[in-house]
Amino acid sequence: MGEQPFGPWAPDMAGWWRGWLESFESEATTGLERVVAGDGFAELLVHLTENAVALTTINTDVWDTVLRNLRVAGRADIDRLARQLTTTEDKLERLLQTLESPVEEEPVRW
Amino acid sequence: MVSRPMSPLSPFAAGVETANIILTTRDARIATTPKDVVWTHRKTTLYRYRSSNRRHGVPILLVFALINRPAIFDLRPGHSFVEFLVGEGFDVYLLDWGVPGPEDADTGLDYYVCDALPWAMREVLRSSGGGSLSLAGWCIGGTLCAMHAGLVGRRSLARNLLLLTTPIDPTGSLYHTWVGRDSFDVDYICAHWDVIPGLGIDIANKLMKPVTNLWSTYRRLGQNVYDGQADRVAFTSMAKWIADNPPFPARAFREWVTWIYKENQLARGMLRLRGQRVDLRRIEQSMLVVTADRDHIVPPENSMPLLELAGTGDRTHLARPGGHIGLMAGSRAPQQIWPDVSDWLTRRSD
Repeated sequence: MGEQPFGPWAPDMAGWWRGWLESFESEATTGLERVVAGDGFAELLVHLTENAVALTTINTDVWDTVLRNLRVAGRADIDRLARQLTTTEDKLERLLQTLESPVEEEPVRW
Repeated sequence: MVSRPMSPLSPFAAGVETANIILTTRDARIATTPKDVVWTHRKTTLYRYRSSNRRHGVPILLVFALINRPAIFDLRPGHSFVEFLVGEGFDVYLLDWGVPGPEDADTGLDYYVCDALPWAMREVLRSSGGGSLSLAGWCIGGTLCAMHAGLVGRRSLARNLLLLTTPIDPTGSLYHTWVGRDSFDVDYICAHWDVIPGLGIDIANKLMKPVTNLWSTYRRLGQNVYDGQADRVAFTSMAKWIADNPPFPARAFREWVTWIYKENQLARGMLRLRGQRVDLRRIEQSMLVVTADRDHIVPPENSMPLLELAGTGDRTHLARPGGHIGLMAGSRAPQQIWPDVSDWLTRRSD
């Protein structure tokens, strides 16, 4: 560190602040990590997650209904179309691999 | 420590500079090593890194997790595992799972293990001209690679298996406490969400070490700026990578949580994909398992069972200081772990 920012007469405020912060952080780290590892926090997370799921589901359903009533494709309609395209892409990929595989090579079947 | 002239404005100036670093994180340049697209399927892309220095016959395929993006393999110029491997003479490929959307809700683990991964391996060999490759998986990417080897056995195109901080038996981990419990109803979540938002997974990851992730990181940055020691590029590149969280397809998430965390099926040898049993004893590849002693996401004891379960006679374990990501991407990684990994691969790549 260089000279004292507030002059030589001032106490080393930066040093004191840094020491206090590090000590506080050390205590807080230990304490909070113990908290998050507990069953109580895990249960809290479960409820928070389920609330988030419920809220977003309501939001999505409302907007999809609005869009459908406006005769506009909603996210669900676009997803359905995307899945059909994916299925076609899968079939093409498998077809390509079959065509490219040497005849004597036994393909791995799932 | 660098000494610099101080003024009463210094704390304020340091605060402004710290804010500037945080606010310009999105401008950081990551994953810049030149590469070409070799193959794509659905959202998956296979890249090959350009090189005029290939000395080893066995190419490497890097596979990252379904959480966060594979840019961590190629974090920034001068600090990139990919750049290092290319420099060591390896032919390096990267499998990028892409960013799933709601239309990928029914993408399960079987897609990654039975389709995308073996198909990408096939494309790697078509492109490189070799007969076998090294699979290098990190975190869930490592588990997917282990599942593949445990499913296909000696028919796999992989000759070497490099597994970095890979969860196999998650018993005792914090994630196991959170999502392995009966009250965590993953079926309810996945019935309503097509994809698990990346933000949610990011928050969960940060809550595992709340003070460190939400406060100390930024406090240390401010302190380093004040001391004139801040490494802007290192901070922003890592922060940018951490903030990039793709969603997790609902079916894959449900299977991951249920099969791995709730029922521990992989380690117990009970996991089945498309009717076929995943038996880790079928792993006959040379295998390197790397663990990090301060990994709070995948503690070493979650990876170690693989050393007992795998059927291969050539197994190596490297235990190193570091965290889940810092192990391979931290400031000390180029000295502490990359050369050892390269040596291990070199001995098995000709």
